[in-house]
Amino acid sequence: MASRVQQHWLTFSRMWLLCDARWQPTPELAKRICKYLEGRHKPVYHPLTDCGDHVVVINTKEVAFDKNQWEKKLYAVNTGYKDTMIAMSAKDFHRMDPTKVIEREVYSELPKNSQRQNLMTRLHLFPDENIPDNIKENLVDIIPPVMEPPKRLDEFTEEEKASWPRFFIPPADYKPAD
Amino acid sequence: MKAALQILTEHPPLFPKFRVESPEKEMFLTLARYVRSPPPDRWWKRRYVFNNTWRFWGRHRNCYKIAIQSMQHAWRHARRGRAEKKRFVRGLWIERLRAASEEHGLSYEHLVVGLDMVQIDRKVLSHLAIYEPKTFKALAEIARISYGEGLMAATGKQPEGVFTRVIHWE
Repeated sequence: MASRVQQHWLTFSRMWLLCDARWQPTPELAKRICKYLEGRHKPVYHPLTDCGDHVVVINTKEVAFDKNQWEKKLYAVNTGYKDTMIAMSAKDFHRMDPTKVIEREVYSELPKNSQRQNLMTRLHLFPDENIPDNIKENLVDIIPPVMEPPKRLDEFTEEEKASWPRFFIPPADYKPAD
Repeated sequence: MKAALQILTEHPPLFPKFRVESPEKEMFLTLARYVRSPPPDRWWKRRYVFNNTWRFWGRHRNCYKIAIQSMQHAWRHARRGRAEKKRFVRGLWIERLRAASEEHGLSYEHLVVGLDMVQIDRKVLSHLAIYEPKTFKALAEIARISYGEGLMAATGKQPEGVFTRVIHWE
């Protein structure tokens, strides 16, 4: 077994974790990312020890919102000119920059203390699956997804379709009423 | 007695003060104490305060009128803090157990309900989760089975991947 010092370094070393944001609900995903950034997934957690990990999020352009949130949810955007503040819908905001929606959500979910800016620098967002090589080398583990993406009908196999439970089996000459 | 009462009316005792219900009782009780242990003089009284405030800032350290207030505030904060520390530390144990049980595929609520009869408190459980991971894994397995099927089902069989030393009771 390694010595005490080596064991201590191994326990408190910072991990690099991968997260796939494809078709994941945004607020739940942000909460999960916050948990890993703060280090609350470790049994050695303490708010004073900086024990959080790096989180690399891929496919941020395919993140999902519930119901009609894409049209309804508004983000405040600073134009740089005085006295003008624009409220953009999530759709336009996402079109402007596909990584900013998750960035804003995680920023609002993190605890509002002086650690927040520090933890945001450990969040790495990429719109698709192209990651720089120096980050790819560091990746250790995958964050479990919030929701398994649903399957389309053509993605099911014939056996699964046949064995799916049915409420009733209609007769051969059954025609539904219009 | 009369002479003593006369002394007290001329020089009423300032420090220490004994709170009693009526002024007549006050004179009656404090007489004995006044004679047996005369009140400390000013220097000693203030020395007591400055011994407690030697590390405060500025006038809170050296000026009695300000230091006495700072000392009392500090004592009030310390009293409140002693109660808050207990709450904070328990919350930390629970959070650590939540993380450790998620590592084994359990939720914290299932772990605690499953280990209800096992009577290990959260303090020791969180210590085991950090320093004795294999022991905690065995406890998590017990909690998993106990939550679903009860404690008898959990303790009857040997959990997989865990080595236990069998104790024979004579």
